[in-house]
Amino acid sequence: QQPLPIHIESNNADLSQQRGTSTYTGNVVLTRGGLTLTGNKLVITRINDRGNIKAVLDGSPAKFDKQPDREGDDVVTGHASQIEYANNDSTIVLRGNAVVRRGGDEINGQVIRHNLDTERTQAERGSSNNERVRITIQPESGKDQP
Amino acid sequence: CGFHLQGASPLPDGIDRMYVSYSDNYRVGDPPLVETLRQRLRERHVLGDSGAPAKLSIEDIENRQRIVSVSPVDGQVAEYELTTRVAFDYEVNGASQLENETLSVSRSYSFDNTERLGAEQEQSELLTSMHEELANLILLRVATANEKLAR
Amino acid sequence: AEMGCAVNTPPIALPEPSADSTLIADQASLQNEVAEATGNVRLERNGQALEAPFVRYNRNSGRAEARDGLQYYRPGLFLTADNGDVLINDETGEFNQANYSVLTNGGRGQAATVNALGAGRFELTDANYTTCDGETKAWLLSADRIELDRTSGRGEAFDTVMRFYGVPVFYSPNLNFPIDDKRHTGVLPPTFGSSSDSGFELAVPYYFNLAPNYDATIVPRVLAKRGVQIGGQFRYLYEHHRGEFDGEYLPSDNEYDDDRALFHFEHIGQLSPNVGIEANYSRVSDDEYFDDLSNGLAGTSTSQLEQAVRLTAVDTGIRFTLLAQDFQTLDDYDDDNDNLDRAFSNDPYKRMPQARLEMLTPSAPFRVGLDAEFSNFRRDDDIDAFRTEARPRLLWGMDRGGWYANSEASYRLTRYDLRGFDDAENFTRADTGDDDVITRDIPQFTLGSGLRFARTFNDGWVQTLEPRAQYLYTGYEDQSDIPIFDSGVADLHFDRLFSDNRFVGSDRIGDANQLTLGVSSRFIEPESGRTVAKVDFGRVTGFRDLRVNMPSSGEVGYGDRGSDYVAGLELRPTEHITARTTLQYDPDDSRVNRAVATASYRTDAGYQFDIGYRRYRDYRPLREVARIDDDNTQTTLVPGAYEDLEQTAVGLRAPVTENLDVLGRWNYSLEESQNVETLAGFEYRPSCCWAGRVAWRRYVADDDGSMDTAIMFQFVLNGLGQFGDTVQSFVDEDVYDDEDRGRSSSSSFDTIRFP
Repeated sequence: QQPLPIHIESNNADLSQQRGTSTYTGNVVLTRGGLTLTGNKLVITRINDRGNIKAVLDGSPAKFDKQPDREGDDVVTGHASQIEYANNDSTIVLRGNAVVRRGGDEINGQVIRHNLDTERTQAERGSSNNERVRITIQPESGKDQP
Repeated sequence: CGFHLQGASPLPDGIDRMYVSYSDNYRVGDPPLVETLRQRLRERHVLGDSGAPAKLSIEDIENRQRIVSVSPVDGQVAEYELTTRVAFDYEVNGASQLENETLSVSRSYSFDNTERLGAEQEQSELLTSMHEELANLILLRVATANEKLAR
Repeated sequence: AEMGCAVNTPPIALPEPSADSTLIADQASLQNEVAEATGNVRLERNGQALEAPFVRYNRNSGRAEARDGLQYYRPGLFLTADNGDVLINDETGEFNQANYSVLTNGGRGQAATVNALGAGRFELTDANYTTCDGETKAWLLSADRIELDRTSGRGEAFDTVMRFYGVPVFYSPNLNFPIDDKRHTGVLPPTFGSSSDSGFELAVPYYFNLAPNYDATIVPRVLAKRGVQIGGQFRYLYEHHRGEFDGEYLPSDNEYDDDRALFHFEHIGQLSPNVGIEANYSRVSDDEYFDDLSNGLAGTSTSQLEQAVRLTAVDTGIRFTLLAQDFQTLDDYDDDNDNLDRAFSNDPYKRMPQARLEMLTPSAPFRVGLDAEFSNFRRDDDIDAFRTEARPRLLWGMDRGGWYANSEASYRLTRYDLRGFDDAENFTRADTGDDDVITRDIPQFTLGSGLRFARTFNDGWVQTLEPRAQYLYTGYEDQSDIPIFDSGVADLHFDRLFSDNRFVGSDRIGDANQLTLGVSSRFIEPESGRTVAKVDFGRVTGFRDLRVNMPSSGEVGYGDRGSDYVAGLELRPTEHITARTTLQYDPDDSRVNRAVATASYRTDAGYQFDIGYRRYRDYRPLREVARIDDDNTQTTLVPGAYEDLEQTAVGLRAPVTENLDVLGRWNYSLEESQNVETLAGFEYRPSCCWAGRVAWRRYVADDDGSMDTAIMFQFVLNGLGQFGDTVQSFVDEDVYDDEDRGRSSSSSFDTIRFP
């Protein structure tokens, strides 16, 4: 199935084909299907010749926003100092004071991996004591539960 | 030798009436202590009603009796000791002068079971004279507090 | 009530109150509604905190599964367990292999399973419970099932074994105990020991907190030599009425081979603001009841049980009392001595009824009063009488602070209607001059005056000096033919010097023509206004020999040579020390008739030391004196004789160390050179969760002067028993205790009525 196209906007871009990487700086916005990434500096590296790329977005903070594929699923948003995205395994990785919000829950951690398809979120702690994973779960406020 | 007759009124100057209050949820009538206090103040023309500037409230009167000696011959009670303890407050124009002040007096009397009704009467008369002594002690204590007030 | 050992604060951070649940961990993953966290995970929700290496939490069902060793905290409870599931929303959960502690009363223990049922209720299986800390638990309750209910504050154990330092002590199918410090239905500290009367005994009181204003206590008591006695007390307290019922019942006492029972009822209350009622009723099944079944002196030393109801109606200047009074007399002299002169019976006259009216105008300086009384005196095998009396009084009183004076004139009219001569065993008509009616009328006049001096020393100390004089005239009338119903001889005191009758009661009105002189002086501390020292001294000088006497009063009383000198000294140098001496000296026979010296030292820390010497010469009209030869005791009646009673008394109650209180008392009769009562006791608190009490007592018990011994032990398991009684109340019926106790001491005569 043909991978979705990626659109990138930024103030300026430096496309150097021979190194296979391109760098975009200045309120960069990357969109792909329901996913939107925003940040200050984006580095795209081509990892193979089948169109798979790895994007590393830095920002203060870098943000992402994923609209639900199916009706009734939750919107998932998040931010971190750096967001990594590869279009082949639909997992985005947030590093550095990462926060992900989905359906009223909020997950904090140093490294958070969120699979956009399975909607599975994994968080890991940082080295220091106040960098532990913290999940805040809203009380059941009228969400339609199975 | 320095002795002088005590003043006529037990009250500080400028105060002409003292009210004595007492209440008991379980007994009726005033105990002799309260009656004696009121009669002493009545005789000195200073007994007032609840509106009086000086207020003496008798908070608690407790009479207790215990055995203090037993006849070694037949183990019967030989002597009882009566103790009466009173706690009272005193205020002048709403300002508290004495707060939960307590005084107590004791008397002992011998007991013989062939004069049981007599002993009951003796106990009652002793309690009355102890209450009268406590009334005088209270007035003395109030007078000393008033002197301090005057200074 | 003393609680158990303090529980160390739970090693878990207390949760902030918030409606959100927060999950903190080293790693966590969230998939739809299930969150899995690993690495010292902590879950917080509405006041609960759960910590474990691994937690799976379903955000919809609120179920949190914790594994590999968890800690769980919620207000009032902390537990650790191998694993457990918590429904965090409705605060329920199951835990396995748990160690729990109840934070409100220091209760703790282990349990195979803990099932939190919500609303503060827990069910523990195969569990134990104690309030002791440290490795070896001083006491430990192990049970198949323990239910804890934090709202009612009660715990209940089923199929329980109590172990004391590991040794099983008793088994009970059901045991109810408190888990907070409020008043609760439950077992009270058991008492066991032995006494010479009843051998080994064990009493386990059970308390029922029926309502805020009434409760009950049931005391089953096993007596080795006698059988099983059941005791009960029911107390009630309303806004204007309070009272209690006490009962004891011992079916077929083996030593006495009959049933033994005691019943006591007392009540005091206001029927209306002007009408009061008091009742006091005691009854025992037999004369030896207290000698056999009471372990205290207060019980064995009283032989007349009052059975009375009193109604009082008051209004300004008027008091009307109606009394119906009877007595049960134990070891009645009359029973075993029929030739006894009836004046010396120890069975008091019944007053069925006595109506008294006292009127006195609340006026000054003049007051008019009337005392009127009607009494119906009755006694078995004796003459009975109606006594009607009226005494109009005219009083005058003036008080100018520095001096005061008062006078009273009264005329007492009395009429006796005697009846029942034939059934009066040893009473011949000649005694009353063959007629049934005796009348008596006696005028009386007193005039008294006093001065009140005071001087203030330069350092602020005040000394008062109050001389006082009183003249008394009482008319003479021969009263030797009037039987004694309620009269008696009164001890001489400083106040009595100024009384208007040297006898008490109305059957003997002492003639008098005398002048009483007295002086009293006080030293008052400047700052506190406290009386630090008081001295009083007085004497009655008579102008005529006295003629009215009582059969039981030895000599006629002070004649024209005047009364004994009476002197009293009271010292209160500090708040803690009180010393008192009174002296009564007869100048003619140069003899001390009464000498009392007592000193007591008390501190707020509970230290109390009393020492006392009492000596008085008392005319004993008749006394049963027992001669014990070989085994039978033979009681003979000793006719009237003066008896010197000389006793010393030492009392001590001291917190010796942090966990040891000592109690001691020794009362020794000098002239009989015999111990009247010796008591030694201590309370030992080796740990914060239990205390041991021992009291050994030896006292004159029976009327033949024989001594009884009793030794009592009590184990108080703090946090299990209700009230941390001190050793004082454990030996509550004792002689020198002037601790203010809720109830007056047991013997009914001690119930004080306002005069």
